[in-house]
Amino acid sequence: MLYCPSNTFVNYRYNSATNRASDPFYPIASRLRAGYALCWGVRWGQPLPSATRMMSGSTAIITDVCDVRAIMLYQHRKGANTVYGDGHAAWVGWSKISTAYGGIPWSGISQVNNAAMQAYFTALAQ
Amino acid sequence: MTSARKTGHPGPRGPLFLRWGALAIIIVALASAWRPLAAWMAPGTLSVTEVRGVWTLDPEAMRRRWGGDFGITDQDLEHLQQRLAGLRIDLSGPEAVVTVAGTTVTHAWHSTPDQGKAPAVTVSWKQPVPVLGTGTSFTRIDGHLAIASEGALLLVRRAP
Repeated sequence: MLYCPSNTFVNYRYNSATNRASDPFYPIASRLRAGYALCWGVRWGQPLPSATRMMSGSTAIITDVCDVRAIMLYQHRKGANTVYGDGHAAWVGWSKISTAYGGIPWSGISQVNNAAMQAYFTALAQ
Repeated sequence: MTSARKTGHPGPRGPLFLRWGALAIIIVALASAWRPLAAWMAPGTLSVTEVRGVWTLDPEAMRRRWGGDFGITDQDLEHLQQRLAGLRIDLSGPEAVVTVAGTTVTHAWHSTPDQGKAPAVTVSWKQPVPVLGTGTSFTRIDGHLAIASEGALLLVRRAP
């Protein structure tokens, strides 16, 4: 499980009151959360990209939590750390992602957000 | 040269056992008060007593707290008000009752003990609730009560 030390929101901190990594009896409704989002994890009900595309050095596959803007306020504010298909990681500056960021809803994860998530990961692509 | 110590009489500060007794009482009081004090100071943690009552959305507080370049917009607030029309979370009884857009869902609420910290108050719904998903945690952000779910972070106030 990976945690971003820059994310200060209680739901995404390591072993916090609402994200308890060490408790096997933690309520199932309050899921254990990583501090990063996977490109196929935030696009609900969508098929996985092809293996060739996922292993491409230009395809962003993991980045800081990006499901909703309410949560994104509590992490990096000038860009996003991103992992690409070939395993390399890079910092993507705000200028490249600001438009796509504006399309992400404030709250509420659902399939309605798929298009915004697609646009955000496309903006992260190198 | 007759001092209180030499003559065995209590000095101006009182008998020795009283002084050590007072010190011991202070140490015990501090030790017992430390845990609730630390819990109160810890961000994002709440007690059951603090959340007991009826809660509703506080759009003005959200605008004040998160308005601005990166934060919530009027369009976001309007969208939230549409999706969370009539949001009411009733934690005054043994069961939590949440009403959103005419739908009412009931489920037990509880606090989750945390190691050395105050418990987190969590509520899980019998069926997913719009925006709030399947579960909600009560937390504190800059002194304001907030509810956090999967993908939702909303400031709330006591219902009138």
